Amino acid sequence: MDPERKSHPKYLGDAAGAARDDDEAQGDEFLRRFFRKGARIMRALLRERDELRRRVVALEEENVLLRARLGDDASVDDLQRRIDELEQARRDASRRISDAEELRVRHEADAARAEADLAGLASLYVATYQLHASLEPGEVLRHIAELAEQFLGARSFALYVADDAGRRLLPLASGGLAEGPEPLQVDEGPVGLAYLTGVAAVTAGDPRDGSAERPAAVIPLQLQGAVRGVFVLYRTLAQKETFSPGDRELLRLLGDQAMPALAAARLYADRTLDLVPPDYARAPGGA
Amino acid sequence: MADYSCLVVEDSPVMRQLLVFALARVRNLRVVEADDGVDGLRKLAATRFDIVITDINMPVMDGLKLVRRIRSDPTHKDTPVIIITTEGSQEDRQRALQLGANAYITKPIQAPQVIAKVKELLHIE
Repeated sequence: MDPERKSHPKYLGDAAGAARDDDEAQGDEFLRRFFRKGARIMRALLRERDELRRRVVALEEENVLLRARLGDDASVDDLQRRIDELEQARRDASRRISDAEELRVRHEADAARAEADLAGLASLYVATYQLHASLEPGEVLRHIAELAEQFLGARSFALYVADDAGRRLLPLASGGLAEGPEPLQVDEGPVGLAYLTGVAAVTAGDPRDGSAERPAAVIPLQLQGAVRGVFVLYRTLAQKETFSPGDRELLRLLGDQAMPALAAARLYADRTLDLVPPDYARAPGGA
Repeated sequence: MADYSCLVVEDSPVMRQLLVFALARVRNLRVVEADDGVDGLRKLAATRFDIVITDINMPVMDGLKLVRRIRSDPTHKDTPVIIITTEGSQEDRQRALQLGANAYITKPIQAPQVIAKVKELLHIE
């Protein structure tokens, strides 16, 4: 015990008091130890609290990052979906372009066919018009020759007309032949055959390869249902490689119209054409 | 109202009519016909044309002389000229091109070919 405390009057005079003092001292000690321990615990708790706060902050930061990443993933999904949609749209557009291209090609082909048909019709119109444009026999023959050369690309050709007896075919016009064509017997060669049978013969092969023996085209010329002559196209120019459907129509037109045009011109040349019929005055509506 | 005008110089009525029919397919193209080179010159003196199509073999004045006259005329020296030739006239064709013709078409003429050549020289789509 502390010497000062032992000399204190209270201790000196009272043993019980001394004992009480010991108890108090022990209690103080206990309290000091208690509070020191409490302080340690408190400090530990505070450290733990701080540590927890740091962890909370770290977790919150991590949470923010994770949320951001989740957000990014959603954007990626959106973008992927958009890419898929665009890819589908691209495929649709590509298909539509392909369809449109196919349609364009088809329309171009149709337009080309229509143009060719129009050109053919124009040729037929011009040919018909020119065949009947003149009442002068020489000019009609010249027009027939021009049609043969300019429309059909004839390198060499001849036009025969049967004589009155129907025994010989007389050449009325020709072009591109080294020598003028000679009269033919009606049963002579392909020209005679066409005259006798009335059947046209147009090569399906290369008309440039035609000859006198095998002409590219032999066309009977009709007048009022009877064959009165023959148009023969021996061979064509180098650039005329084939007869088109339009050419065949033109040959048919020559077969039907050349002889009436010639006959009309011949009749007009032989006599003055009175355009007013003699019985006009007696006809209904006549003056 | 026509945007372009074309002079067709051709002595053959058959060919001329066929050319006129073909050229009718070219939109906004006015076509004037001439019987031969002299008639063509007369019409060129009266009117300015955007293009001339001329045959080579013609009476009075042939296509070669016409091309030469066109190229020596300040008014028409730049006017495109198409000549129409036959298969066997390579010399005439070369001569015409040397004289200043821009293109040639060989007989028998095909309407689509004429249209294409005219459109090309007039820069028509």
